[in-house]
Amino acid sequence: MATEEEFRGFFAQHYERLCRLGFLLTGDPAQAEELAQDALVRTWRRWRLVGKPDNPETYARKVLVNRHRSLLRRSLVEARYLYRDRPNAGHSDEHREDAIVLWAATRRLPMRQQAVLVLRYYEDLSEAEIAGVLGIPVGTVKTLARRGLARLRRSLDATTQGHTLSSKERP
Amino acid sequence: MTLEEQLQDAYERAAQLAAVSPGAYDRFLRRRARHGRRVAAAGLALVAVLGAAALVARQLPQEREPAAPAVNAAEPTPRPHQWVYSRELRVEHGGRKPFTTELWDRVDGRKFARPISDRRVARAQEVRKERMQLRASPQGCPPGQPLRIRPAVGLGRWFPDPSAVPTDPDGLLAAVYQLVEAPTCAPIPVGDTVQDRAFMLIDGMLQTLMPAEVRAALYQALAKIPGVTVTQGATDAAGRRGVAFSRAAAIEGPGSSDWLRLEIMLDPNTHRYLGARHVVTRDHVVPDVGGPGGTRFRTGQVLVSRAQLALAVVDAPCQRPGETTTCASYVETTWVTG
Repeated sequence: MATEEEFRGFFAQHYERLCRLGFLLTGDPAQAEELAQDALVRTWRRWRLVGKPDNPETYARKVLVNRHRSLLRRSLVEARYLYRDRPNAGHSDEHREDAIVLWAATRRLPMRQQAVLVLRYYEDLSEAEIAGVLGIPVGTVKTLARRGLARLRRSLDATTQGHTLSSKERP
Repeated sequence: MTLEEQLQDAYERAAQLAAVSPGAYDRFLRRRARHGRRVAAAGLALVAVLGAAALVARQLPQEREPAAPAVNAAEPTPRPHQWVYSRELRVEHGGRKPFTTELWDRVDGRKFARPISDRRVARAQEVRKERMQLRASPQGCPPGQPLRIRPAVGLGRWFPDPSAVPTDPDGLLAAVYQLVEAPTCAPIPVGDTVQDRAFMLIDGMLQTLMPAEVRAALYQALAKIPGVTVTQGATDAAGRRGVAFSRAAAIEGPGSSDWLRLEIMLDPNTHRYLGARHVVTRDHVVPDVGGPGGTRFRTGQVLVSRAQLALAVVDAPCQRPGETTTCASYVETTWVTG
């Protein structure tokens, strides 16, 4: 029962969310939309061809994450450039600034750790669901999450110490 | 705050920075047309929507109905604000496990509803209300004819004047041919030929609530369409046996009747819709979107096998037959015109 109308509804419902997921992974709004569009075209194709996926949202998300990974593999140089060129956190809200700093730190993590954390803490997926999306064993998901968090913690500590140091150094 | 909580907060806040530019759906359509021309068009082929008037059969798959040709007077006509519940089992090519889909169409055709299975939102009871723009069917509408929301049950789903449609097989088939040649806004499948479109339209009609005599006439009309072969003892996705009517059909859009066949399975006694299969009739490659590769399909592959497990009238959206409660979370969509 794949209808044009049904897909349009699906699109309206999930496009923005997919853009946000893409943004958290890439840090670039334009590239995020590109990923979301690409994921939805692929979802549509699959929907038309063999019928509606069991859970289309999961399907689209999976396409997006995997697409991001393969694009990264293909052009790591470009990706690194994008990493540097992330939007400046020029926001007055102090919490938000902290949040942006933390998010920026996640994006310096290895690709798979980063993806696991986004899926776990933004998309609120279970470990089993993440394993499904990334096509890796559940045990690996756990390991990646643990390592990712540990690494984040270390980098946060380093940042805090840096702050302390610099304030001490101030005349 | 723990690091986990900080991270959740950080993601939520950072995600707010993602800008969604306007016109996203139009860009999607252009992009889809660029990359997926082969598979983009025929949406309506599988539309299981329904049509009007003297409504009879409340069919549950569990009930083995006798071959009752006439209107059952004891069966009340569904009221406009009741809902038609349908449940379908699907087995899809690609090794995925079988799954079921559920849909509620309001009898007057103004709304439809789907359950929310998303774990994140299903935790809380939630009814999401949405509005969706009704668009002209691919065949377009005559100038000046406004889009009209059509009832979800009976012949009125497609025919402007259901009472004028003959209920003998030849007369009904002639009316179907006439409609697919001049749809005048009716939601008709995009097929490669008139026969192809008629075949797919009848597939849609049989998936809906229809008066028993219309159902019986459609059963006989199917065999009269050129190119249709009839096979006894076919099995649907749920393992039920019936009669299969098979024909080349453009299920995946214009041109796809060249490599695809639609097999409609019906119960020979009750004329109930059992299910259908989409079968590859010729080796075929569908190119990948934006990539050099493609998906290869081989002769005899079954792309989709589906079975209609339930078709019934209920009183509320997301209510299942025999249950008095509705599901906790669902999306209710209202069609809007103009």
